[in-house]
Amino acid sequence: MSIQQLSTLWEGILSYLHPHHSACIACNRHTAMTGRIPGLCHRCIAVIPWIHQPVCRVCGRAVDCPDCRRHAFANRHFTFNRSAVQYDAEMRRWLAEYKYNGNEGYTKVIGGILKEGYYRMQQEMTSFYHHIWYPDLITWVPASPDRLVSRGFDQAGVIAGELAKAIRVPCLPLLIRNRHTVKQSTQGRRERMKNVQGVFSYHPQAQEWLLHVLQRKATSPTDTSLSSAIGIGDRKNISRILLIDDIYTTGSTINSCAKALQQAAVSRGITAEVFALTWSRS
Amino acid sequence: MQAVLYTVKYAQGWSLHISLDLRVDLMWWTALAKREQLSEQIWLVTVAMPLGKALQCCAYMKTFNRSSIQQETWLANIHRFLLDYSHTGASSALGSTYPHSLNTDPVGHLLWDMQMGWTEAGEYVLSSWEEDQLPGNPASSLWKRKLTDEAVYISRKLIGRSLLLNECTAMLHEAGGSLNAWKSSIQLAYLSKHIRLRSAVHPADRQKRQTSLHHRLSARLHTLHSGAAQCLRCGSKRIRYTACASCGSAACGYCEDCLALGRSRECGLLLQAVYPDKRTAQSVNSAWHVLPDTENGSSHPAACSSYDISCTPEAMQQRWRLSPAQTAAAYQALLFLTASAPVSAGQNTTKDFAEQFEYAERRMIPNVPTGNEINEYSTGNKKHIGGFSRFSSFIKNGQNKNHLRLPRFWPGRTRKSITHTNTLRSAGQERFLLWAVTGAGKTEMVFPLLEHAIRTGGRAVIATPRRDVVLELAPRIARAFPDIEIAVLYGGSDERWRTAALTIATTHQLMRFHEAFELVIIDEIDAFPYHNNPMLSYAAAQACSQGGKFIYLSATPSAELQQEIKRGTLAHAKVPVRYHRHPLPVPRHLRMPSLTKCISSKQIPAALRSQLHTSINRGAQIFLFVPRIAWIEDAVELIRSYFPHIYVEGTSSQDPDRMDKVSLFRQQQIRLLVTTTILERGVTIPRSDVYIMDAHDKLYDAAALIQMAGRAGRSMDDPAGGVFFASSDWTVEQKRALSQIRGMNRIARQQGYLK
Repeated sequence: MSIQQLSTLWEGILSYLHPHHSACIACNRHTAMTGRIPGLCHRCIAVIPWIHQPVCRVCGRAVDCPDCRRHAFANRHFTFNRSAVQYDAEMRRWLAEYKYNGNEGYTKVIGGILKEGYYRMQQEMTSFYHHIWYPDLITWVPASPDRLVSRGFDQAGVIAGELAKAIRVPCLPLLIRNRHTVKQSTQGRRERMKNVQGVFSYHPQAQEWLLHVLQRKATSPTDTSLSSAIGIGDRKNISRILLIDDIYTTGSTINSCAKALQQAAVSRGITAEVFALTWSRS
Repeated sequence: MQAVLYTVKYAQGWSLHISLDLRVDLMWWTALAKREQLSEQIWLVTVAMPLGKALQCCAYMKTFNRSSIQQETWLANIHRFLLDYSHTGASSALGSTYPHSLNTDPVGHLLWDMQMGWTEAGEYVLSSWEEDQLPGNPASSLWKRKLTDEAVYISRKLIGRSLLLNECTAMLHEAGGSLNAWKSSIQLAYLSKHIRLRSAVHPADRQKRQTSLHHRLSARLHTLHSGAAQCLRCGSKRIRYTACASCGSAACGYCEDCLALGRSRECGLLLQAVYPDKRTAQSVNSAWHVLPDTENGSSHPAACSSYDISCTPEAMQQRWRLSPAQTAAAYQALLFLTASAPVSAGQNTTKDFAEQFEYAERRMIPNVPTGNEINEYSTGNKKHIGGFSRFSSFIKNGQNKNHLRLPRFWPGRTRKSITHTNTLRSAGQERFLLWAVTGAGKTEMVFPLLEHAIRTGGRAVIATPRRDVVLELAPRIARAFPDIEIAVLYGGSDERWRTAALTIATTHQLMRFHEAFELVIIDEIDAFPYHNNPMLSYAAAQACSQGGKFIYLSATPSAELQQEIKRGTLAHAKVPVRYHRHPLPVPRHLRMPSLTKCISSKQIPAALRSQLHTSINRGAQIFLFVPRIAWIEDAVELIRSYFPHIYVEGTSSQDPDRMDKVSLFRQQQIRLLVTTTILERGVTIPRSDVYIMDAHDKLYDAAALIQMAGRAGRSMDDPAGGVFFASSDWTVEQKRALSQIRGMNRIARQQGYLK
C-alpha cells in the first residue's frame, strides 16, 4: 500500500470522524466550517468588510456620501438602501466568481452574507420604529432574458429567494426588464442614469400580487396588539417592499426599479414603501 | 441551451438525432440518393429539450437493436425515456426557482414521408425561423450555398479543438468571421460529420452487461440516470446540479473543477473536431454541395518534405549544441518518435514490434544494421543504458521467454495495475520519459524532437505547469525555430485561438484541444498541477492525437513513474549530468536543533553559523529554504541579527513583492533569501549555496529536496555550490534524495560524461 493510498484512507477516516471538514469555497482550504456563513472558513469570514454602521442614512454607505445630498436625489422612489458589505477587492472577486464564472457554490455564501445584512437592517429599523420591522414582500432587480439564458441563473433572484425562504416572506417577480442594457459596471454616472431609464416595468400581475399581500396583511392577526398599542395601525395599508440586488453603486438601477414598483402600487391606490437591500455597496 | 429531438426511419431501422436547426436536418435527410441509407419518414419528437438530456436520450436509444424495431416500439421507447426523465426532473424541481415547463410531450409528429412528401407540420417547420439561424428559404440554392460555406469555415476552424460554444464564437469572432447563423452552420457541420456535438457534462459510458432483456433495459435506464456524470472537457466528476434558466432543467449539472476556463455545463454545447482520416469518404459527401475535405486545410505550412529524417547524433549535437549526455538522451527520444507504433488492435506480436523498431533504427542510421551501435554510442556500460536500446533488447530477448512477461508495452495489452490511475495515456498513445537532472538543459534537448515532429508534418505542444515558464520558453523557442509558426497560450494570452505548428501552453490550455498534437511534451511531470491531478492527465490525453506520443520531462519522477521504469513499462532516457559536465553537488548534513527551537532561543547553532560565514565569504548567493511560510519572518530576523552586514530578505507565495525580491536576488542585491518550496524550481542563480532548514520536515519529500539542492552549482563558473541539509534527524527522504543524487553522479562518471 503506497503512502498515497494510506493518506486517502486516513483522510476518509478523518472526514468520517469530523464530518464538518470541507473545502472553503473562497480559498479552497480544507478546514472546519464555522457555520456562520455556510461554505466559508473562519479566515475568509474574517476578511468580509461588513458595514456595521452606515454613515449615509440614505444609501447605507460606510463613509460619507456626497451623492445622496444631491438635490435630484431627494425625489428618489425608494426610502433607503442598506448593504451588507463594502465592495472591496475580495468581494469583487467573490461576486465575479459567482456571476461571471458561474460558480454557484457561492449562492450560499452571498445569500448568507445578505441574510446577515438583512438582520442588521431589521435591527436598525426596529429600534427606529419601535416595533418589529419586516417587509411584506421581497422582489429583486431582474436580469435581462438574454443574460439569463447565457448565464443560466439570475443572481439577484436566487439570493432574494434564499433570503425569503429564511425569513418566511413571499418572494415574487414584480419587475421585468424591458431591454438589454450595457453592463452598468462599464458606465459612468450620467451614462448609468440614462442607461436604466425606462428599462424596468412592473409585471402584469404585480398589482394583483400587491393587493393580495396587502389584504393578507390586513386580515392577519400578527402583532396587531403591539402596533395598535404604539399607534401605528395606519401602517396596515402601506405595503413594504424589499428590493434585492447584488450591488449598489450610484443607485440608479435601484431607483429605476423602485419607480416601476411605485407605479404599480399607485395604479391600484396602494401606498408602497420600497426599501433596498443590496449585497454590497461600492 | 435547448435542442430539437427528431427521429428518422429508414428501410431498416431508426435513428434518433438532435438538432439546433431542424430545417437543415430536414433538407439533409430528404435529399435523395446521396445518403448512405434511404430515409423513409421523419418524425419530430420534441421541439425544445435540454441539450444534455436530448443527447442522453440519443445515447440511450443507440443501445437498442434498431434494425428490426417496429414504429410503435421505437416511439414508445423514446416516450419511456422522456417520461422517466421528466419524472426525475419533476422530483428534483420541487425547490426550483425556474418553473419552466419542460416541453417534453412525447408525441411523434410526422414531418415528412417518402411517398406523401411534407406534412403540414413539416411545412411549418420549414417556414419557421429562430434567432441565430440562417433566415431564408431552405429550399433555395442560395441558402444552401451560404450555409455550406459557413459550415466549411467552422469545421476548418475547429480542427484539433474542443471548445465550448462561447469559446467557439469567440474564436470565430477574433478570426474576423462574424457568424450570424451559427446554429444552422454548426448543425450542417455536425450532420456531415466534420464536428461532434456533445454536451459538456455527460454521464460516463459504462460497460454493457449482457443479461436478460428486462435486466438490460433497467440497467440501461439506471446507467443513464444515476450514472456518474463527467465533464467531457476536464474529465472531472465533481458535478453540481442547479436549476438552469438556459435549458429549463431543474437539475442541470455543471463542472466545478474547470470553472476558471468558462463554465462547462450539461446543456452546454461542446464542439469537437472529428479527425478527417477517421471518416469514411462516403459520409463527407453532402446532398447539395460537397463540403471540401478539411484535410487540405490541416496541412502545415512548416511541414517540408526536404527535412532529413536520417539525422545522426553527431549532426544533432552540432546543430543544437548539445552536450554528449544531452545528445544521447535526445537521440533515444528521437528514436522513440520515429518508431511507428503498433496498431492498437492489441494483437501485435512483439516480433512485429521488434521488426518495426529495427526498421526505425535502420532508417535513423543507414549504415548500422542492428541496434547495438547505439548502445556503444550512448554509453560504455550496458547496465545503465536507459530507454530504447535496453528497451529493444528486452523485447528481442523477451521473444524466447515466458509469454506472460512480454505483452506489457502497449496500451492494448497493459496489465491492469496501479499505474493505470496515474498515467496520461489512452489507447494508442505512447510515453517516453526524459529523466534529466536539475540544470541538465532539458529545453535544448527538446529542440530536435520538436523539429522532428514538425518537419514530418505533425503538430507539437510543450505544456508546462507555470505561466512564467511559458513566457520564458517562448522567445528561446522562437529563436531556435525562426521559420516555424508558434502559438503561446496561457490564461489571458492574446493568441488564445491561434493555431500553429508549435504550441507552447500552460497545462490548463490543453483542455481546449482535442486530438490535436502528434507530440505532447510535458515539462516537470511531477510538479504541482500534474501531480495527482486527474484533470490535467485527462486534458493531456485528450489533446494528444490517436497514435500521438508523449514525452515527459522531469528531474524527479514520481514514485509511480520510477516504478514503471523498474518494471520496464516506461521507455526512458536518463541525463545524469549537467550541461557543464560537472557532478551534481552532493548535500551535506548539518546536525542541528529544529528551526523552531533556534527561533525561540534566538540562536543559530555554531555549525550553521560558520558554514554560512564560509558561503558569504566566498561570495555566494544563499537560498535558505524553510518548510513553513509562518517561519520566514522569524528566520529573517534571526539571521539579520547574526549577519547585519548583508542584505537578507524573505519571500513566499503569499508575498506580493515576490517577483521584485527574486529579481533583486538575481542581481545579487539580496545576498540571502529565506523562502519556501515555491522557489524550488525554475530559478537559476549563477553562484549559489543552498541551505535546507528542517530537512527532516514531513513536507519535504525526496523530490522536493533534490529540486532544492538543484539550485546550487548550476553555472559553469561555480559548478560546485554547497548544499546543506540542516536537520535534527536523518530521515528516509533525505537518504533517498542523497542516494539519487549520488546515483546520478555515479552513472555520469561511468558513462564518462564528467569532465
